[in-house]
Amino acid sequence: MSVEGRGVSAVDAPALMTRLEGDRELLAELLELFGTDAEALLASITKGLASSDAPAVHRAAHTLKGAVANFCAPAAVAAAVALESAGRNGDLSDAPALLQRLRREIDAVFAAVGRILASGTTLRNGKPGDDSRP
Amino acid sequence: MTGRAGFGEEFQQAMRILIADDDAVSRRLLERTLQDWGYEVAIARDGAEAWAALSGEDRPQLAVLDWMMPGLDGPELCRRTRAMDAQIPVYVILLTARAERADVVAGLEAGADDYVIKPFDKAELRARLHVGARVLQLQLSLADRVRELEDALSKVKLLQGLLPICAYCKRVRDDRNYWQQVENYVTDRSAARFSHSICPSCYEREVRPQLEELAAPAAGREGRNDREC
Repeated sequence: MSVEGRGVSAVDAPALMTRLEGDRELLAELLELFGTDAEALLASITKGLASSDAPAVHRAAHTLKGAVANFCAPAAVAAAVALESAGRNGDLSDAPALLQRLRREIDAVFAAVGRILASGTTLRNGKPGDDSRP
Repeated sequence: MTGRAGFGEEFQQAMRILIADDDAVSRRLLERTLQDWGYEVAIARDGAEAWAALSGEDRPQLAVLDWMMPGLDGPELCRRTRAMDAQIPVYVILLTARAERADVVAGLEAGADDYVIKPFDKAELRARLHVGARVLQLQLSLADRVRELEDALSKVKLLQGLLPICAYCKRVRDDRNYWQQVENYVTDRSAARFSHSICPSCYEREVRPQLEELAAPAAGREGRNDREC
C-alpha cells in the first residue's frame, strides 16, 4: 500500500481539490492546522512508545489518521492505520519502524500540498458539489 | 400550525448543529462545509465540550459527533443525550472510521440516529443531514399536534363534572353562577356547534297543531304538512 513518495504523489491532488471545491485558501488553512496537530500527535506517539503505552499510541495514531485522510493521502492513512492497529493490539514491537514510516509519509503530504499551493494552477476537477471520490 | 410546513431552506437555515471532533483539520473542514450549506455551527473540541453544548440551555437540533474523542466518546455522549428529558431530542450522527464498521452497531445501540464514515463524503453527509432535518420536522409537527390535542382535551375536561340545570327552562348554571342557555354553555367550552332543528315528537306535539290551526280557515288547501317550519 505504501508508495512513500517514489514517483507517485502522496496526495491525490484532483480528488483533494474537488473535495475542497478548489478553495486554496481553505487548503492553506487546513495545512496549517494539520501542521500543529500532526506535530503534537507524533510527539504523543513517541511518548507512548517510550512508556510502552499502547492505548495512547492507538488513540494518537487514530486521530492523526482522521486528520491526514482529509488530504486524500492514502499512503499516509495506511501508515497511520498500521500504527493504530499496533497500538490497539498492544503489540508495539514494530511500532518504532511504523512511526518512522508515518513521519516520512506525513512529510510527503506536506510537500505535496505545498506544491499544490505553490503551483497556482487551478486544479478544480469537476463541478462544485461533484464530490465523487476516485 | 406554524409556517414549518414542508422541508424548505428556511427550516434548514434556522437549524443549529454541533460538531465535535478532536482533530482540528476535520473539524474546520466540517465547519466550513456546514456553514456553506447554511447551518449555524457550534464547535466542540472534545467530548466534555460537546456534552456542555448538548446539555446546555441553547441546545443544537443536530449533532455530528466523532466516535473517538478524549474524555467522553461519541457513544457515551449519545447515551447521555438519550437519557435527557427533551421533547424533541437532538438528532445525532456519529462519525466513524471505515475500519470500525463493527462499532456502528454499538453506536446506534447507544442512541445515535445515523453514522457517516470518515473522511466524510460531502454528498452523503448532506443527504443524511436532510434525513435528520426531516425527522426533526416530523417530531416538530407531531409536538404541535400533541399540543393542539392537549388544548382540546383541557376544554373537554371543562364539560365534565356536575352541571346544575333548571328543571323548567333547561338553562345551565356555569362556574360564575350565570344561568346560560345550554347551547351557549356547550359552544363556549367545546368545538361543538348547534344547528337548530325539531325532533319528530316535538313536531307532532307542537308544530303540527299550530299548522293545522293556521290551515283550518283555508279549507281545501293541500300539502299543508310539507311546509318547512
